[in-house]
Amino acid sequence: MTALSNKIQQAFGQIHATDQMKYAAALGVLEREPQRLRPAVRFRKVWRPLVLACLLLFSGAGFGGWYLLETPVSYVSVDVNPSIELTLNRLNRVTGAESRNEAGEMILKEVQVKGRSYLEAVRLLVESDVMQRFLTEDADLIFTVASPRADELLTGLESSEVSILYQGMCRQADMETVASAHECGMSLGKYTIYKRLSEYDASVTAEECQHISMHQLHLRLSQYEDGNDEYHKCDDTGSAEDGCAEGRHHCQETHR
Amino acid sequence: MRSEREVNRAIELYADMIRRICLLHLKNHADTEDVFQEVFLKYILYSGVFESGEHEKAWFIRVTINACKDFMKSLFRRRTVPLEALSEDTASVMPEHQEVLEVVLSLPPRYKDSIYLHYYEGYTAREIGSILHKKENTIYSLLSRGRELLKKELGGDGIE
Repeated sequence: MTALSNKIQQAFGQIHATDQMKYAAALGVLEREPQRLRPAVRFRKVWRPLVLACLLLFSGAGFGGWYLLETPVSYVSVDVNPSIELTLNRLNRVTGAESRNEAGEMILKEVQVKGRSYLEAVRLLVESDVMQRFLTEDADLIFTVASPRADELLTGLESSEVSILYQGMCRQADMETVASAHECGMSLGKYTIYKRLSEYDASVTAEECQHISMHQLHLRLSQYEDGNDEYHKCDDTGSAEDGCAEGRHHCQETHR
Repeated sequence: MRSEREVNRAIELYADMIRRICLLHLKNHADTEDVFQEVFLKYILYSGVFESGEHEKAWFIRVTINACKDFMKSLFRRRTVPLEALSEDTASVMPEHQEVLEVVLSLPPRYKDSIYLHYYEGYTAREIGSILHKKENTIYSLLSRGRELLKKELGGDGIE
């Protein structure tokens, strides 16, 4: 057993539930429990008319609600070499997920992200077995967001557990870029870097980029932009957040 | 539904552990008591069968962590906890262990469960992953970064 383990064992070993706490729990549980078993009766008497009224109201507003919930509002792409793009509704929940290459397709077979919050969906994608195989030491994990609420989404991504653990890079792109990326059959993140690369090297093609990992694309780009320190890894330090903000700023300008 | 005898047995067996997990998340005596009751209420109403004692223990860990998180999300709950409330729960701890406890409690929330489950309860990364529904690799990273933070705060010497 290590010294750290010993210290933690000794410190936490002194924390105990008091007798008062145990007694209150036993009493509270056994007193409250019958009340928990009665809600069916109470529901019928009090809540059923109210619930029926609400159901009528909601069925009237159903189509409008469905339209609002299904309308794509934001796009988040997750790129390593597997490339996946999520479509989000107004509630930042995933309404669609599309793979942009074979590895991405395998991931979407492994995990179900539809209906989940974007952060939960991103976590599932990054932690999937297929994605884990690509997340080697030198891999680049890029999150690219196009949304009228990009700041909110990027803030969530930057402080998410997977972004911190796997040192994800967070960037913003314009909404117009989404259509251009889709025309090329690319994810938002990969398209963004492809466009920048093509500014320096006219021979580079979208098809070629689809098969190249984000890390390799960054390496190729850095040959032209040597000394441009714009890609900062997201970390739980203040300076790293500043770095992401700079990266975002650059992306916006690139596509204007 | 479980009998009164089963509830009393579970309270005797898991009350200390639940109190420790509550301490990681809530740091407040009154909130701990609320979560305490919620956990045992869930237990009495839980109709599933536990395959073993370990299975039951893991269920209590998971339910307690979820109950703490739900409690923290509560709209009506005060978001800040005065410092006196923190010392209220750790006051009984011997001074030489108080520092360790406070350093663990001051870790960012994402590390605390893994650190506690590994170093106090003795679970492996794989077991913690299964309890917390996270990938084993994620737990390794959480443990590694959590350990670095602990070493930094407690001083690196003699805690390898």
